[in-house]
Amino acid sequence: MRDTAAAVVEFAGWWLALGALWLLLIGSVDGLELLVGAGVGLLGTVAARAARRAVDER
Amino acid sequence: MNGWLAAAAALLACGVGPTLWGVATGPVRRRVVAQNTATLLVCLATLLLAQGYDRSSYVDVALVLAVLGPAGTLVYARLLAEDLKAAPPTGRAGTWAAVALTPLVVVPLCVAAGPGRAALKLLAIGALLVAGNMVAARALRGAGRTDCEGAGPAEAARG
Repeated sequence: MRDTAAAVVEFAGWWLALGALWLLLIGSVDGLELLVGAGVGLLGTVAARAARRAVDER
Repeated sequence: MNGWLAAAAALLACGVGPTLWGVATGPVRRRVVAQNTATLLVCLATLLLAQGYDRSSYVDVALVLAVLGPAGTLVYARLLAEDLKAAPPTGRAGTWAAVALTPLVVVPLCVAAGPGRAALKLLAIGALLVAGNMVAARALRGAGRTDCEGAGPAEAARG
């Protein structure tokens, strides 16, 4: 249960950080950009979590 | 011709020109350090040109270069590990110059951009430049070592 909670917190943390980075770096902010940022952030979060786990468990 | 373009021209002539010469001639240890400095100077020049020509898309070019430049230096550190082990680069003048020059360029650009996301983006690029330059320089100094010192970036450079 605690592992699941930690995983959810980490997932949300990565998603928010990557989404904030997206919003920082794009030119103009509108609804479509938010959607694209959320989707791309999701992909990035999956990759980032996999990379972190690969490095930690090496 | 405005001040930003003049500054970019000065940076290219007095900075990138000599560093390109340093990349093309001399021992390996000078060439990799010159490559590291050259990517930083070109990135700063691109930021100045973005402001001079008033084209915000050039800032994205600088952002990509700020990420890929140090990555390229790490690749060179890995490929030239044997040569660098025989003669590692010494001295940190290049790194300190980079650390000093980046705020001199980024802060006026942030002031010109005004408060907002554009200024934050410039600050992020400046931070990436300094951090990337320091990480890559540290990897170059420790590239050829086989002992446990020079951990972190050197470990990553050795793969």
